[in-house]
Amino acid sequence: MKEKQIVWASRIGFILAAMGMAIGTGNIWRFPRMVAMNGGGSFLIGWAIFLLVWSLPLIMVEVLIGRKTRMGTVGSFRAFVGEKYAWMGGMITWVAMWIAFYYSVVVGWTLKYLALALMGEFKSGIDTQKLWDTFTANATETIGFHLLSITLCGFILFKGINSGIERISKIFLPLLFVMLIFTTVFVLQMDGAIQGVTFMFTPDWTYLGKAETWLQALSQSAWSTGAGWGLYATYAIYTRKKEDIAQNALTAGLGNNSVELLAGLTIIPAIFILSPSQEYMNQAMSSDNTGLTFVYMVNVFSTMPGGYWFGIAFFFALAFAAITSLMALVEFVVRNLSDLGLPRKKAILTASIITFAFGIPSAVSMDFFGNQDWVWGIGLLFSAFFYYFVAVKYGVERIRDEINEVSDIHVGRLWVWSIKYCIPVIFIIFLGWWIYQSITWYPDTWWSPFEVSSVGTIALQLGIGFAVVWLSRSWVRRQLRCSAQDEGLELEQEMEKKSENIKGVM
Amino acid sequence: MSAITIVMMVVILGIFWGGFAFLMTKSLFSEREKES
Repeated sequence: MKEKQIVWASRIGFILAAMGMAIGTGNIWRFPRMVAMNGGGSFLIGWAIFLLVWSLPLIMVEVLIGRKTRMGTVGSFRAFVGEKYAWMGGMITWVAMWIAFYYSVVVGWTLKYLALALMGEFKSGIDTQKLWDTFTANATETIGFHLLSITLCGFILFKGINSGIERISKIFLPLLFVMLIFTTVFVLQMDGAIQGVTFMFTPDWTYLGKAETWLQALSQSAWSTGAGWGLYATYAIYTRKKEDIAQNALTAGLGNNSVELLAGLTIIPAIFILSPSQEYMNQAMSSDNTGLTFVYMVNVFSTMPGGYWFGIAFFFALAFAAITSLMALVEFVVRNLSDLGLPRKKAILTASIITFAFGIPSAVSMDFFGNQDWVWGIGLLFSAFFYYFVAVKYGVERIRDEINEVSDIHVGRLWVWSIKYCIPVIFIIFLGWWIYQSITWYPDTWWSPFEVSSVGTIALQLGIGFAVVWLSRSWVRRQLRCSAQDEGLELEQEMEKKSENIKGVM
Repeated sequence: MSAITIVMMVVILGIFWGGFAFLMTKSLFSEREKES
């Protein structure tokens, strides 16, 4: 049977939870690299524009759908635009579920490195590459930390929306800001930091003419805000009926980007100051996300004065960001399982066990992890496209009017224009560009499903997801109906009880 | 630091940090008003 409608205890609670969901490791380990590799200030221009024309419109659509339907993605698509589109919600759930599997492994890494920082393991002269390679090659450790992260997350969800997610967000988010402000101030007071800041904000105009700058700016905005993934919609289920949509979305979006700027102002100047050579700096910035964080940044901590405290603050911030995002991903799955009739506590247990089991391959193989990150990163584009589709199907102007009805800040023509024209055009260009990139990486085997980042592996895995969702659609439909009937029955019983009580009093 | 860098810094930090601080304060106060 369904549980009673739960709502966030406060507006700030929802905003912080939404920000906790959006602010993940990508804000800290991807943003500074992207700024450094794509012309500094030039990248920031594109990144700011895409928040306005891609991320914010999608966040608002999501929040409206979640709040209006009060159901997870499958049920909400069914209720919002009809039964025949419920499979789109199913696909969004499928994508988020697979992201949760490997993201739990990432949370495990951050916990491990936080433990190392606390134990003072980042000593001068340490071989950070060896430390990372040894850790990731040790399956017992990676699986152990993966188990720890999903257990922690399951425990928070088990405490409930208010006592779990909301309370943790209210503690972790301010702490994350404190930690990042500390690391930023720490770096900025060092000699030579100004060079890094200048590099970060000076636009290199030649980069504005490069397609890659814009596409990376869009990738950063789309993947870091979490717009169109269904997570805002999930958290919006618990908002009050008259809760402001536009202002809350804007606050969460600006908050997400503010954290990215803090991370940039920490990492870029730190690498600038402490790199022994220009070559080392280039290597750090052109390495992958994990390389920058777990190899180059750790090396920086080990050589800088006060590096012990800096390391602790940095990995606390990273771990907080990662845990709050994992919480949202697992809650997303839990909510959909609850809609299918599973009691919440059983749904949490099921989602946690599944996440642990399916996360193991990513914990033991970096290639498998890379493959999952690639496939489901692209899958998220489809999730965003499905939100665009339902917005158009329902009526973009109608959605705008419903948003404006409850919002202090009114959205206008630019918002409608962004949804109707920008999002589909950007989706096609964005998807086309990543597919093109993949073909250039594997000119001969791009079609093979067995390459880490090929087009073939995307087609195969998304295809399997689609087949599962499509074949289970009748069962899902039945379960949603049964669950809705249970809810009706529960409501009826409650009403009967109330009327009996009233009779008793009279 | 060139003029363009300073302008970019002020604009970007002003929009994101300033905007976020303003909206968070606004949300916090609207909550307090509701409570009282």
